[in-house]
Amino acid sequence: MNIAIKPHEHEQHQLGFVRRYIFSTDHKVIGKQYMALSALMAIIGGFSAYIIRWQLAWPESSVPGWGPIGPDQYNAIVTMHGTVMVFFVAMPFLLGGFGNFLIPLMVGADDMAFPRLNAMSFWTQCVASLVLIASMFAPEGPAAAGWTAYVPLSDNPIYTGVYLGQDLWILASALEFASFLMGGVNFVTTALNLRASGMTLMRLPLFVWMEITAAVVFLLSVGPLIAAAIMLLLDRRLGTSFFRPDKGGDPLLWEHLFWFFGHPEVYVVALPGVGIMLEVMPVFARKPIFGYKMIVYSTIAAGLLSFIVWAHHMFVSGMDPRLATPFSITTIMISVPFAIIVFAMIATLWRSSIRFSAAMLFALGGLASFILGGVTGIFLGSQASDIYMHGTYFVVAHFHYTMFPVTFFGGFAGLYFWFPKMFGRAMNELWGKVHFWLSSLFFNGIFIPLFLVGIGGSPRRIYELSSYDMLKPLQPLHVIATVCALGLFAAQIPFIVNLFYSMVRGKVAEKNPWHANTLEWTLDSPLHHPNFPVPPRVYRDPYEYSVPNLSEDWLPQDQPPSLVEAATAAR
Amino acid sequence: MNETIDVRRESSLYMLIWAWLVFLLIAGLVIFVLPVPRTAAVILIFSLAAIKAVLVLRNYMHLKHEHLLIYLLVLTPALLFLGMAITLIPDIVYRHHLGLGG
Amino acid sequence: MAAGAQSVSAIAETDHLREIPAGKMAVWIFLASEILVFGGLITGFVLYQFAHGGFAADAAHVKWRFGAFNTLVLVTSSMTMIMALASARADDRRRVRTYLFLTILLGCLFLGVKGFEYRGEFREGFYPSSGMFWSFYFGMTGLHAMHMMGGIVINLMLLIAATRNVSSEFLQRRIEYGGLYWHFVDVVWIFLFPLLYLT
Repeated sequence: MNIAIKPHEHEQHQLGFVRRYIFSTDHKVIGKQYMALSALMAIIGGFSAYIIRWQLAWPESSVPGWGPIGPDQYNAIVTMHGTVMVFFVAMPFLLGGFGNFLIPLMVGADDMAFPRLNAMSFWTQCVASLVLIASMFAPEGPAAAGWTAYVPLSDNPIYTGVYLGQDLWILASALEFASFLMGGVNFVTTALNLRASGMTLMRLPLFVWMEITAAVVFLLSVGPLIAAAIMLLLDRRLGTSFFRPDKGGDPLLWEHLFWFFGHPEVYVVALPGVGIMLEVMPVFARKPIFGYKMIVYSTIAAGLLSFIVWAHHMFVSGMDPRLATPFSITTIMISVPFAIIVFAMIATLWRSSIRFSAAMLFALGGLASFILGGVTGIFLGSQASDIYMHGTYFVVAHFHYTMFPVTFFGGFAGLYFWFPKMFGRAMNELWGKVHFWLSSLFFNGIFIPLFLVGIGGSPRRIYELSSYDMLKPLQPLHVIATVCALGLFAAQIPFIVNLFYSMVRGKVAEKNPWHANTLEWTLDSPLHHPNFPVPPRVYRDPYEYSVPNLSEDWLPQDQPPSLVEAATAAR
Repeated sequence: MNETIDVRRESSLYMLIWAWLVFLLIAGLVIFVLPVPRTAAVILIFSLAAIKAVLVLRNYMHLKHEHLLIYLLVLTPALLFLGMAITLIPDIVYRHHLGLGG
Repeated sequence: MAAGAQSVSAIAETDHLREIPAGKMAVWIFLASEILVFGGLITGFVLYQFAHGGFAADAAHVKWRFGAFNTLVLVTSSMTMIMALASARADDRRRVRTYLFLTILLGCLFLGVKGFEYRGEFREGFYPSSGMFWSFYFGMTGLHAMHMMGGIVINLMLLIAATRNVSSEFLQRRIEYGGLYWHFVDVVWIFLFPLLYLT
């Protein structure tokens, strides 16, 4: 067989600035590009959250830095907030960012299976982001039918008054799907084909398992939504009747097709964040992960089950009530694998030597909040209680208590953890802890009131409560939530300063500052191209911490057994 | 040398499959044109289509030589699609939620 | 066994084999998600058929003879595509180019006939907005046609590659993967034809 190992290093030096940094095919650069892009989009997502919160707390006033908000504009901003946060922040950051950066390193490969496809996936996501931003400048404004784009609100422009904006939203979503299809293909192929010698599937870091499962779930769930998006676009532009009841269409078809994708999608977003927590916790507890195999099987089970729970979003949609019970059952079932994973994390922490670094704090805080979020899902998963809760702020609080911890807290845990590897310098731990405590405090301060608002009966997606007498007593809760939201935004300032300062003036980090076992920590920081000057050889799983009779409390995956024996003998 | 013989055998297999595909197409058209009761005709025609698809999948797309993982990659979305279609029957076929009937 | 002896860090372009070639896996993964795209549309169409008691009136206006001819064209193009692969395996570049050219030609013929059908339907006053059946007919055949155009572009690129001095192994792989896509588009039509023309 004709194996030509490309002389990478020479190639890289000959590439110009553009090829090397802008259109780079190096997975580490692409990972950082994804992170930068999602950070920019997070500004938009966060700013829209600011507008929403201000409007809800003080509806009479004009939002500082924006202007007065009417109901139509409110709908558009809510739509943008959801769309941007799910598709343009969470997914690119956790999958495109961390996935790209870490998967090749963790499996022991020099790059992704398809580096050019990887670059293309990033640039497609860029174009998608630009299209979405452009939609905000459309004549009637951006899409205003919610991130779920229910028909006929999204289908017939007369309802929202938005013409071009909604079409551009469809286009941006389609491009985003294309980008993640390309990325997903890369992740799965790389993890299956490019593993280093000795890296069996059961020795993969759990983060990689999570990313692959997320990629597969995405790949299999996105199809029907692409079909539905095409149908929606045709309805809007060519006058087809897929979803128009007056012409024989069925609005419920959209809901089914959307949520068939929409529910697996939230696990696509959640699993990588959980994966980050699963990497961070053993390192700062100096203890092996409890129940590696159970976690893997639970992840796969959760991925499979995620395909048969979707109609719990539709209990009150008018769908056939006979579908409600089966979907309630499957929804309750899906809490089991997640519970197993949570129990495994807790068992990992049990009787361990926890070091409360910034990364660990974020992982722990994320776990705690995620448990609360998961538990509140049970009320929504049973059709009886959902009749009351659906469409209220209880739902909003529930999904922010699940998505936010895994993406925000999980994401920051990952950032503080892998920053030394990405940039060769250390972030300031003290300010990291300040960032955590403030964020955690304010995050809970926003959403616990919202649970109460929801139970109090307030529907979501309404731009102010004053028209409803029964909701007026809930107004102070909105004020509390908004004040905490402002606090949450302010709490990000120490992080931003810390991030940029540390990138250029942070203390130079050693190769393996956390004494972790996975392969990326065996390499110099920052990393070179190719990743592994010598092909790694893997001998064990990545969670061998505090192994008895060894001089160190960590045992890297690529440490040959002979050296381990020597270390043991030396004691 | 062995390679050429293999290739020739391969090629005749491909031609044979093509002949079958054309034959099945014509069979389907015959059923369509003849006064066969509608349900029977539909079942037959789609069965023929399924057979044609399997022939292409197994022989042209080489599924019969491929690893189990590839089979799963084809089977899983097919099953998901069927599951989704069946689940949607109560709502989309019996459109009670639209009140005045479809 | 020396740890460095295995060429483990060679990147995928050299087909690092871990059971299945990376490129093949990638194409199949892509096709898996495509199954669900067409599946979503087909689900809608079939279920709506039952809901509406069939679309016989409208469906009578599609010309099944054209559809059947197109099916023959596409099935034959699948055969020429796989023969291109067989020729690549036999290292017969001339045959490779011939079969690829035929595949492209048949693909264009398919599109031409489809365009002709569309024109006829527009003339008779049937547009995508003309009703539920037509929504699906134009929607599904339109999406399929776009996939065909993509396939023709891919085959053109393969044809160009076959004229150049690329390695036999490279060409075989690329034609195999392009072929997988082309056959998939054929299989979709194998189901679309009876769905739209014969029911």
